[in-house]
Amino acid sequence: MSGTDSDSSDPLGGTNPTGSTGGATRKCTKCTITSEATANVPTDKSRTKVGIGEHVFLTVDNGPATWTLSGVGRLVPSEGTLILFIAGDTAGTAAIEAVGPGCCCTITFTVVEPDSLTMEQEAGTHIRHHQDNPDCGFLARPYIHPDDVSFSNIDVRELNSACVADGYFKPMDGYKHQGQYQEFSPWFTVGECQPGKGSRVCAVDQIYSGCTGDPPEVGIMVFPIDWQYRVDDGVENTLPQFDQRHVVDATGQSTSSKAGESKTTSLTDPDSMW
Amino acid sequence: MSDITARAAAKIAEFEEKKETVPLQAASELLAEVNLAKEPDPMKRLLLRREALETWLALVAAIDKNLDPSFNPQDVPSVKISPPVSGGADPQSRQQYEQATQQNREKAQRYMLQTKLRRLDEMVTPRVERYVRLSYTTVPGDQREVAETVKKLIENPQRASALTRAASRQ
Repeated sequence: MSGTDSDSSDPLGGTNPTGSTGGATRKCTKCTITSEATANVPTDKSRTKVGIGEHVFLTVDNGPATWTLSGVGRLVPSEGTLILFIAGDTAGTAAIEAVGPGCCCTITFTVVEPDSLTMEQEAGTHIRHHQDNPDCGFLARPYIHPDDVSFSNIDVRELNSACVADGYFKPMDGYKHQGQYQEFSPWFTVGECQPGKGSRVCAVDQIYSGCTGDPPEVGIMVFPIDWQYRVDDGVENTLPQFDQRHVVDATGQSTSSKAGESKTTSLTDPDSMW
Repeated sequence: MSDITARAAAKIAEFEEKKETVPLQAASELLAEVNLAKEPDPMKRLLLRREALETWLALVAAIDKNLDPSFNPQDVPSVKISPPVSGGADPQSRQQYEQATQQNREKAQRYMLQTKLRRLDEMVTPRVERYVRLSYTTVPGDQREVAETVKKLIENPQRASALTRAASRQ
């Protein structure tokens, strides 16, 4: 973060009570805005593509300046040499202008929303299975894409839904993956972006086929899955839908899949718990 | 009280009621707009300076009061609790499942509050310290105002020490 304490209208601290305005009589003919994203990942902190809700420090040389924003987001505060840009909660552009004594300069950000979610088995966890039953389960960590911005200032949640099931899973047809009595999960915070993976959700999902107790036979069970996101307590938006899928083949092999992660067990595998 | 500090104080009160950090964030953004140099009346400027100090300190005191030192960020909540195989037909397993689901929901709410309070603390602490450093001189009257306000509002000894240092520019 840049900026100097000698700036009498430093945005992080207010102004000197003497009322002196060191920059008020200064003239400039040219100014430049530098930006620094507060997220440590992606490592390019000067990038102008940001996720919804991201925070970016803006510094203008030859400040202080009066700042205006055209587009999505807000500026905190609206005057000073060093300020904070908070990206809005929808995709778009944010053109920011700093007007100082005799000069003005601009910087433009592209603000993007999440476009997908993938899951990965949580490190250090195991497969859930009961020997001689065609069941399979695992714990998974969700990641929000794209991974070239940070979504650490959004919240996410999963909606409940009923499955369509047949064959071995027929007795579970219409079951809901979050149980019968809730419409959605709690909201979860999102952590730092992981290079190549996306922004890491601060929650772990339990993905499990269950078992009916019937003799193994071919079967399939599919849940349509929706995840929502929001910035602060703003508008809820929904990511593209995907499936949570559980399949049993003729040998009793069971495969559970969700958001790009998939695990398989055989009937004879020993009992195990995630 | 000035309009801006009154609105910020109301946001802090709203946080205490709801235990959601959005109002605290809003309070910090309001206080960041305080511009003492724009107040031409010296007496009003001094009053605004003190009000803004008190409100900034009330904000960080609210953060300190609600931070849970035992919070473990690695202990994340679950997206869901797997329903019982019986589908909830068995009353005992259904009761256990509902209890686990409620506990998980409360854990998610705690996790969110603690995570966001820590993030806000990281963002706000430098702002408050700079406000103190840039708005107060080292003359005894200024130092006394900061010391008395810190003593009145700040219970966290580390916070109190950092603010006092900021005021004396050590």
